[in-house]
Amino acid sequence: MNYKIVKCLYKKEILDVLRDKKTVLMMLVVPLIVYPLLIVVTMQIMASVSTGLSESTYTLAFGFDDKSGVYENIFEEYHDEGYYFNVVHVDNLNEALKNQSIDAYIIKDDEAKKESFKVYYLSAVTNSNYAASMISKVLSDYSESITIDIIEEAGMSSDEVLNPVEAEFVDMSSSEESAGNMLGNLISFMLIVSLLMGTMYPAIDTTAGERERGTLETILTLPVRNQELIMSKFMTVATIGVVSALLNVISMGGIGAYMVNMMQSMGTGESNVNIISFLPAIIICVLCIFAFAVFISAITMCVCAFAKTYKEANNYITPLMLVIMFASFVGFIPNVELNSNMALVPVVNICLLVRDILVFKFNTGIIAIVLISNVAYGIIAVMLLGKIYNSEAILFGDNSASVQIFEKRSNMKQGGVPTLGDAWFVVALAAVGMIYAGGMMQLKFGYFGILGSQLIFVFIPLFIAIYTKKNLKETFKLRLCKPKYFASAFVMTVGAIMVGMVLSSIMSAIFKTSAQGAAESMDALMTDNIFKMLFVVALAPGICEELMFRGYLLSATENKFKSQRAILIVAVVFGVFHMSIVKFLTTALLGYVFAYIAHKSKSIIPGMTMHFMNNALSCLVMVYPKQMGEIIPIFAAETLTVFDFMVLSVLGVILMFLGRQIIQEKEEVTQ
Amino acid sequence: MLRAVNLVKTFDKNEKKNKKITFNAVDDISITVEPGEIVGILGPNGAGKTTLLRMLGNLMEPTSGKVVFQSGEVIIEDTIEIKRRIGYLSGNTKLYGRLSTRELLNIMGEIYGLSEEIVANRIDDISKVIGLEGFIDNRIEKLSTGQTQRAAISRCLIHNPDIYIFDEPTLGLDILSSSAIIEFMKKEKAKGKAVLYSTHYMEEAEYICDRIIMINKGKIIKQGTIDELKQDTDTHNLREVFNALVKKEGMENEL
Repeated sequence: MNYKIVKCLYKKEILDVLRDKKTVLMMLVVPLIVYPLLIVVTMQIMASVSTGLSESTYTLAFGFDDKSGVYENIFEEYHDEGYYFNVVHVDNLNEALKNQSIDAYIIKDDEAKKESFKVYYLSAVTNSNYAASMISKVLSDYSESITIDIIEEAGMSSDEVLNPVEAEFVDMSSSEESAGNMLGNLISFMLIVSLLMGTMYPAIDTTAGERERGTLETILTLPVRNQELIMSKFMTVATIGVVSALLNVISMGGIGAYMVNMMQSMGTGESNVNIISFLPAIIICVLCIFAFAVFISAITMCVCAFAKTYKEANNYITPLMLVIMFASFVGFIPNVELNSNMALVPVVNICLLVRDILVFKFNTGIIAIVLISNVAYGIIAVMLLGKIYNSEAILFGDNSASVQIFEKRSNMKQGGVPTLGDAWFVVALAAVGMIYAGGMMQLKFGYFGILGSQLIFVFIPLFIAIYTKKNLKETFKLRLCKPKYFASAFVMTVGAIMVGMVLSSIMSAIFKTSAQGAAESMDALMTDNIFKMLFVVALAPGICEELMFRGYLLSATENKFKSQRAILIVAVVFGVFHMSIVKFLTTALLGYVFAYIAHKSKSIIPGMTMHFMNNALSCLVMVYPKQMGEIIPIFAAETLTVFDFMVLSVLGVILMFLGRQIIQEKEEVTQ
Repeated sequence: MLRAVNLVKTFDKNEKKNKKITFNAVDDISITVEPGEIVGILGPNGAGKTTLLRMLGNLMEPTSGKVVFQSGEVIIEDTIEIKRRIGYLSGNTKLYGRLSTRELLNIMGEIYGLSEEIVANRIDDISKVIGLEGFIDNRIEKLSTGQTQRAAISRCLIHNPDIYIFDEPTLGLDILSSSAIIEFMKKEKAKGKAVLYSTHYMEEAEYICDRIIMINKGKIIKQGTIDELKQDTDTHNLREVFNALVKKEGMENEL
């Protein structure tokens, strides 16, 4: 890559984008003028509304005979905080209430032992609602005054009887912390939304826009390589995103800090929030903006690159925006904690990190994971962008677009296996579904909610395979195979489990916090009923994950790449889907074995069986650690000794090799 | 100078439902262009002219075959290096509307690795030759069709290329603008540059081309000097040559 050319193209893109009115509007005018204005106006409206309310007089009618005017006095003399009551006499109470000539009416039950009232009001009408709550206040004050009278008549201190226990609460968190708490949610949400808004237009403009305007051909006549072009475009989008996010956050942060200051000075008479103490948090916020800009620019550009026109790009980007905005709301959920697993979930991680650092919660390891994972996802997305934005195919309308799902359905061919583009689309959808919808289902339906993410793995590929008219039997490798493949799969899986134990204990030693997180998420799978657990944790993944990864995804990668590479891709994606650094190598290794068998046997069944076996084994170890330890002592071991390490890894590798030989030798014989 | 050997470009085409066929837009074409000549590429719509020129300009990768640049003993096969020596004007060239011609030329010059001073001098020269005075600092989106085309051509000159590849440069222009472009091509030819261009205007081709390559359905159906073509087909001008050749092709196909 020639960086001089990248720099030059970048200069051109920036100049071009900055002269686009929409981008400038989004980047400058919205944060610097619209937001402050909006907030000032809202505050003023709120202020005027609340003063308007404080002078309210509520009209009230009695549905009983208030002979001596006792109750009328109680209400009319009451004027706490500027609320007044005006008692009127009405014949038809219901009608008066309905046409709002009175705000509420009260009926007294004369036959009851104590004074008993019924208050009729309209909850749908603001004034009537307020009137009702004021009436309740008046009546409770009245009730209290009677209580006090009775107690004092008996010669006791009413305060001692009514409030025998007293407590005073003192807020010990610093004013910086409470300010940070107030600002945290707002700023993390603003940061994500403003970056999204900021990158959206340049992303559309530099990809689909350039394509639509026909200037891409001009660039292609120059001595410029595809990577240089993509890099310059990516840098442009990221720059605009960063600038607009910085402006937004500064603007919102400024307004927020001003409001907090005002509130606190109103409360205590002085403001003591020290802006300097926020400096580390601010620096990390800025780092987050950069890391997130890398991620979000690449993602939006990937989506836009599929589009041929500006309008089409807009259509594609709307669902993406909804998903990201939805994810950014996670920051508002109080009990969601940023742990090392959450730190790997895009969007949510940034949201939670910003929220945490504003209340001065610093965990260097987690901050690093969040920043690095965002940049890593960004780099992956840029690489993907390079594949999608292959200039020639885009420019000259190569119709065999690799993402078929966006084609007209009538143009789709019947049969065959999915294209790689479709497979990536399915993987992306499944990832989004698993992270967000899966999590929701788990919250809502508890243990069986775990099945939710599994069902996603079946329904998404199945739906897309049917929609794109693929041969389902071929795509999902639904066929029986010879017993030798089962034998081979068994031997290889046992080997892989052994090597996996070694790998996972090494990884746990390196990433301690992540290991804790992994253990916690394993505990969540634990339940007393072993059959329930086997169904949810072993059988469902064995079927669903296999259909998705060794079925749909493997068919697509096999179609495009050489076998080794196709299998490796499936293994890595499978590992990534488990969303845990500690588990990554272990799951990827098992994914590799299952994919290898599925590839050789052209059947998904041996993989399914072995997947079930592996998961069932870990279920059993979790539920019956003692008994399992007696059968296979290594499962009981807390930590592995050096000797264990050596035996497990050597034996594991040998078994995997042997398992492979079973198929290969036979193949030679048949040849 | 520029040599294309056995170029083939295959596209997928959606014919009816569920039927995808592949066809060769360019089918085994070999061409050589030498310094100091203007070569015209003629052919009916859809003959493969633009695809051929795009491959020659290294905008598009051929399915098979290759494009080589040769100057004396030096042989270049790297696409980026060949692009440095070509001034390519695409059929419906679009420029960055939000930039001015001068800004565009500056950036293009920089991409070719020229120094600021050289670029400034080149812009002065080009401005005189092409006639950019008066609108060089206006935004391109505000220019007329003729002005835009001139800006587009000036973009191809900034790096002083050895070969020009122009895809229908005079399409839709008035007589003044198109004759300015034709004169420009003649001047460059006199300087020893090679020009390869496609057009639908037979009279224009007859007026300036040294050699004509006629293609139809992705294949060369005839090539040679204008006199040779007229003799071979026993006609008086290029229009008749074209009609004779293309009609003959069509009849053979129907038989």
